[in-house]
Amino acid sequence: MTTTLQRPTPPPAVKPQHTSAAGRTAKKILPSGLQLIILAVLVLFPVGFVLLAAFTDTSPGPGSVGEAAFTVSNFKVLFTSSALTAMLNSALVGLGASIVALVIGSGMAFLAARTNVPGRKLIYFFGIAPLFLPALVGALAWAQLGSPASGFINVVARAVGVPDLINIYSFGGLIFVLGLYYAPYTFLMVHSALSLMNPDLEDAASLHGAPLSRMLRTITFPLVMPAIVGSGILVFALTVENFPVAQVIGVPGQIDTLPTLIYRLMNASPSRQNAAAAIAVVLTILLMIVVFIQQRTVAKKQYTTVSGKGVRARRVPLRQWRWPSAVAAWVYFLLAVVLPIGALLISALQTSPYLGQLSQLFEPGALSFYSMGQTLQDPDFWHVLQNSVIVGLGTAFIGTALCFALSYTRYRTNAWGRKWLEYIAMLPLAIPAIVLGLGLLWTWLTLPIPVYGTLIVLVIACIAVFIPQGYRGVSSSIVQLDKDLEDSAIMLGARRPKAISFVTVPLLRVGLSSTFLLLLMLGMRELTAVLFLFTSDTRLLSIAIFDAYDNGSFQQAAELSLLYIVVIGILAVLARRLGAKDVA
Amino acid sequence: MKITLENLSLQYSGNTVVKELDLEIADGESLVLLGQSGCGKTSTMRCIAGLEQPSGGRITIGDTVVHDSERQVSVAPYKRNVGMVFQSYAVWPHRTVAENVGFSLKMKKVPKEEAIKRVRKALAVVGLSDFETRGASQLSGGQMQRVALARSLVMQPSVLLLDEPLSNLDARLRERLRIELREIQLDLNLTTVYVTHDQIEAFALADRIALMQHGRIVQIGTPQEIYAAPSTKSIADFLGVGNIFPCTVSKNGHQHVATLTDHPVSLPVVDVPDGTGPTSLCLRAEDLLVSKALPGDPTGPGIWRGHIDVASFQGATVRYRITLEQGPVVEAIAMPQAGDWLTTGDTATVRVSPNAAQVLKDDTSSPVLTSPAAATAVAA
Amino acid sequence: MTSTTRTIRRTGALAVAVGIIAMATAACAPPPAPKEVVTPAETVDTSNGLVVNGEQIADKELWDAAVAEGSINLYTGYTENTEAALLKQFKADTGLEVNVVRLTPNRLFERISAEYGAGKLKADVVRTSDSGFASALSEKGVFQPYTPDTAINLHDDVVFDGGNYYRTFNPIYTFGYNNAIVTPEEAPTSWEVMTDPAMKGKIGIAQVGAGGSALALTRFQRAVLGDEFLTAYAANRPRIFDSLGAELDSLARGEVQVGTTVVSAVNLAQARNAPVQFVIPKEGFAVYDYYTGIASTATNINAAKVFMNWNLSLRGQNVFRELGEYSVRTDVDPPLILGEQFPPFESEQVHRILPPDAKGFAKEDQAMWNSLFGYNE
Repeated sequence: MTTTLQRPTPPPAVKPQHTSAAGRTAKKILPSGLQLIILAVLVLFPVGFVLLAAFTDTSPGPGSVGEAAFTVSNFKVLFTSSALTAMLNSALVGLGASIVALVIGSGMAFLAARTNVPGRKLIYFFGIAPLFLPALVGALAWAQLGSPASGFINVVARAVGVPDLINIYSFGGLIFVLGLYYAPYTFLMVHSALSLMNPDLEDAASLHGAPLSRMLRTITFPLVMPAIVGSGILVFALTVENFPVAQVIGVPGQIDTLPTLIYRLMNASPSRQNAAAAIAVVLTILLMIVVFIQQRTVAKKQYTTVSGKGVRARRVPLRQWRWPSAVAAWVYFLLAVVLPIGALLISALQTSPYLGQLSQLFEPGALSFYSMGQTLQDPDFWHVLQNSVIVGLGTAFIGTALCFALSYTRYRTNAWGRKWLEYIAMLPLAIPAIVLGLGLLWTWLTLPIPVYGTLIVLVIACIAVFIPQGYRGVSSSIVQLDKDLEDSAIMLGARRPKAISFVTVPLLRVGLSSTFLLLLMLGMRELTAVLFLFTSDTRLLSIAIFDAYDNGSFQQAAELSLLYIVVIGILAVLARRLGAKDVA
Repeated sequence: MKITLENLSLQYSGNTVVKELDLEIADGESLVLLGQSGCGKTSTMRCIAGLEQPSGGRITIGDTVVHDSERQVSVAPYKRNVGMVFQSYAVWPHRTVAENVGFSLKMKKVPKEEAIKRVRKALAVVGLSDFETRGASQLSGGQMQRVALARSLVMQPSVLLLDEPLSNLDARLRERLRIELREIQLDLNLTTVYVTHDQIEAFALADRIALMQHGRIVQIGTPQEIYAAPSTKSIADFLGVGNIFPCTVSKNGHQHVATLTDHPVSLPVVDVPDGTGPTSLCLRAEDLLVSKALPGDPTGPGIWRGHIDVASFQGATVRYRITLEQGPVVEAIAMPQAGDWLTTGDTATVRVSPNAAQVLKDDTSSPVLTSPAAATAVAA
Repeated sequence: MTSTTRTIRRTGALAVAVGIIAMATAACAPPPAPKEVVTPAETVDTSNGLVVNGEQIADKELWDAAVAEGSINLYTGYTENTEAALLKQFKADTGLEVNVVRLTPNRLFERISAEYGAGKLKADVVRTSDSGFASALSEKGVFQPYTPDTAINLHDDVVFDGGNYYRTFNPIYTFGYNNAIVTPEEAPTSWEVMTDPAMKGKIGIAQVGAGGSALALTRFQRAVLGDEFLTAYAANRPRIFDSLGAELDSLARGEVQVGTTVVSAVNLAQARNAPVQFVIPKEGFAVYDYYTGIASTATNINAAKVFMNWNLSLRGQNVFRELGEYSVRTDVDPPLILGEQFPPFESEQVHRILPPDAKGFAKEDQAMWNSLFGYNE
């Protein structure tokens, strides 16, 4: 090798900077301090306002902070029979729904990940497909299908001589619908655990003489246990705090849960905000306990190791259970996706919204696209759609940027207080969406920044609710990225911001864009957090659907729901397209 | 450019990982920081780079003080003109080789034609001229390492730092690159600091080696000095000296004698360490001469009989594990002539090369560290 | 995963194809139009101001100014469908656009208060049913006084606060039944049906917090039918609805067989083939006030005036009558809806809650109702 580089000429002497102590302290505190302030306003203020409203007797608003008088009398509402019943109902519904979701989700996950069931990959699709139906839409569809007098299933049953087949407005119905639409969460977690499990663990068992069933029972199942338990607890928390399904399926059956009670108190005339806040506090504490338990169980046992050795795990032969299992999976898909979409279609297409008998459907002119066509041409619909898209995009852009800043500060700097950034960022997971919605309403009514009544406050609300998901998405990518990649740019003469933009951000493209799309989807689906914040010209598609339902226009609700599913579907397809392109 | 570290300390969340370290590296010298993981070598290097903020001390590169804790002076890493090759290479996979290598020139706003020329020169030095437009994610480990090297060299650094440069490569590549790195460094007369845990790598690359333990330099010297005279038992152990036995030292007239603690073996020795405290006897595997035991073999101190437990053929050498009559198990390396080697079960005579045995301070039972002054006093 | 994506794409493409074919073959023609409930104006003359059916709604000066403005912003708590039917006539008569912000009366009050407080009220005209809300808004200064030329031949108790706002019409709050399930022979004629044990679980009621209408009904039920009636009603397990709209929809679907309803809503629903019919009970029914006023912040002041004129004119009041509301004019008949003739406004069967009573009893009625029905205690 010949020498072709010259002896380095000494560069001009660099003048070292004298940084004052104050300057250095500022540098250490400023980035995280600023973010802490932002997080405080986004997350802690709303919580504070809910607490304020719960412990005072004035309704929160500008000036109320000064004149508030401390009282615990709001908590009297907890001891009314309606509140106690609601608490009991919430617990029972949560328990029932999580069991249903666990059974369905784990079963499908097992089938898709580890068995030789026919159409395995399609079953994976079945497992996640219900995620494209927001819970509100699923509930509406099942109300159409199962309402006692005019539900489609009952109409068909009556036609064949079986009256009063099902009543969806019941405990069973509520648990059923919740379980159906929260099963994908369990499915994803258990499936991931099953398929990422290091095959060596099982091979070791077989090599030492364990037959398949034994291996499954003693090795596989216990190793997946954390995922099952963790997802079960997660679903419990989500179903207890769920609002749309409880409102659409539970309330007509006189079943109140804590979120519907809060909603009703807020909508009472006059609005009983302090009582609502008291219940909100109780619901939040409940949820925090559950989430705490979940973190402990999951954190203690990290069994599944993602090995780089490929994931060709053992297939369990089902023998005579092959086809029955496949049928079961198809039935789930039917119940969760096909029937509901079918019901929405019929509702949307009916010319007369009132269906007494099955024969009415087959009369000429009974079904028509006219009404849907009208809705599609309605400027109000486009306005609402535009709002949803703007809020979704706003949430996605700002949320991703904020989560990137948070993650970077937490994992890549020595800034003071960065651990607190993570705690506060993850806090919204333990706060029910409806409680956060309450707090956000009061926060933004009171703060002197004029965003109430605009789309901006909706974006703020969505970001506040989904920071945990966004943060987790970005962090998992940042953590996997070698710090050296950025540091090497520094050594080569780049300042830190340049190094971040040249090295880190491009390499995080996949993680950042998937977080972006996740926030976009979540932002477009959200109903509960923005429920108290919208005004009639800042309605979102989700709210328009809920409003239509609330006013009794089922048909309009069905039409909007279908359009909603189409929009989300388009976004999801775009997501896959862009994601796939990036990975390549 | 020369580098001076004075009283350098670094703390991580309460732990002091570098303790009042003093080091002077001459201009054009190649210094290796050698030690086990956790000893503070990488941290010391990162302090020189500016990627860590020392809690105390002063760092000078050339004539510039790049860090002074007392006077609160610090030069940002991107201004120090220090090149660094990371253990993971940190080659940017989303850019081409040329973009990687030319980055520093882009930062210095070097005009395009000149930049291209310099990039090509650097690639030629590391032997990657054909790879200019290749995407960096498509390189092998060795190629990535060279790209990382070229990337740093092209910016004409005053100092080059390399963190475990060869540890991720397979054995053959390692040997080749070891020599190439040394060649480049000598050609350019570039002050280079390496960090490694592999003593063979250290021996091959260094003008001087600084052995580190627990955040301090415990011995510093040329590779030959260090290999010939490790100052403590732990260092000897680290360097791979095969036979270390606890011993006691007594005097027999003018002669020092070392007696093994656990076995009835004694040996005359020349040097003993100062002071009191436990001691160990160290014998290098290559200093034990093994031959087939013959009835007429002499006996005496330093001549023993034993039988071969394991004879491990290693190509150019054979490694024997021998249990001596007196008890101790020793390892010896031999370069036998053809057909001249022993097998398991054979009886052998083991002779110690004259004056090859060393008695070293045993610092593993009570980790008393040598003072920094004593360590630097051994410097060449 | 690519084969899954392929499968998904294929299934999706198939579904879309099926959908398109279905769309092509399915009827795209508009369904038979719902029966018109309101008669359009016979004559509309804009040569000298606005004259509808021979009645002058606006003089030339006002009319030209209103046309120049072109639209009004209406903040209303009125039922969406009924307001829409009304505005359809207004637009047909005047050609003026109406931008509607529709919220439930509670929300409406909050919104208007908030916007007015922030100096950002965008309303030209405000319509609400709660007398407490209306007088509170008036006190705050949300309204401005105006006396329409068409405000003649009015009943008592129509003009409030010196012309700040006007009682404009009175919806009728009674009960109805699903006539696909309940045959005309079985049709109830008295409020007692709600306490009939045979109807247990098949009846509905809208919650008392749903606005001024519900309060009026409760006052009527307590005052005329008695607290024992209400207690028995609650004991008969009615389904409690958060809004009248939701209740009407459930009634039409047969989820409940008998439920409280507003006549104009039933009227419009029947026009769209809903199998619902209202009852004029022998004990009578409640009517509640709906107030309209021009906002003090109105920018389209002239168009707003035309709106007020039209609302109180013979033409406008007849539209209300045809929808199913009581008019506030003495020269307009009581409603005749679906063959049922309602008694005159002064008749014993008509129970109007006077504003002072409404305000006075509101809290107590609400508390009592909540505790009776176990709702929101």
